Amino acid sequence: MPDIFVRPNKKEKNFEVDLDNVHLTHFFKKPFSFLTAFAVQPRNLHYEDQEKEEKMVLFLRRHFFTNMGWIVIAFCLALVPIFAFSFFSFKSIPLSYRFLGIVGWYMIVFAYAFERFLSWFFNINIVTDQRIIDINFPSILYKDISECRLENIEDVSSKIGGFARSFLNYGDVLIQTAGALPEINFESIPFPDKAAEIINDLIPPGRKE
Amino acid sequence: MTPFEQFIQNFNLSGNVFNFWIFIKILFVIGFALYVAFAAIVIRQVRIMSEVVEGLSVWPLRFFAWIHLGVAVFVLLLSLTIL
Repeated sequence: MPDIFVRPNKKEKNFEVDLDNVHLTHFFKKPFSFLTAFAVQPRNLHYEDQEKEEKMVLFLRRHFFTNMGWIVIAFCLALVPIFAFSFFSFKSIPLSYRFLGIVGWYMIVFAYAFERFLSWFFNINIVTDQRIIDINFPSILYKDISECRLENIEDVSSKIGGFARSFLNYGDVLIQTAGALPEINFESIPFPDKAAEIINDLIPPGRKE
Repeated sequence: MTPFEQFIQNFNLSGNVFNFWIFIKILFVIGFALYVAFAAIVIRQVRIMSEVVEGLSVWPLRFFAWIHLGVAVFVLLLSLTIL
């Protein structure tokens, strides 16, 4: 009897980078830029321990909107001397001290903003065809890199909650693993559902239910 | 005379033992010296961070980090000169 419909057997699929089943709009295929937070198969990027045959599939950062908090704080701090000199008289302080006080204040504000930007810029999540890597720089003096091979991934889920996250479509991807680390969290990344879909697509067939 | 001016005047009256503005100058110089150390650490950290993922265009960050260090050194020297 001829078969009318044969259900495709996903388990027979070869384990390789296959994004054909993931619907990627033009937006996801934009060229990689300085502030890119979501890139699929970025060219010319190389992780320090990346093996020769390993291919980078996803490059993720926190959504740029997550920087708004420190940008607003830095802006307000930058206005402090203007308001201070409008409301108070500092004539009893010598001019040189006043000048260097203001310069020092703006240097501290710049240091704060620069450090926060570096923290955003270098907190990167990478998905290759063999593993996922979470690179964190909690502060300027600490570096924390955790990684998990794809065959150790047990579950991938995405979560979007809150007004800004829903409006701008960014959220968390929670990856539960069977490795030493119980879970890896990609925080506040753009299009978490797409990222979760791609990671799910990369998991070796034997691990999928 | 404001309370702050009175406060400074009181310090200046005992100028032979302790000068208020010398004390403030020392604080400024120590603060700016610490800032130069911080700016140098930032340069090192940008280099270390950029080695983790090669291919990121980090030249603007390196540029700003070096400018940052240059300004910090300049301000430290300025504080030693004009205060």
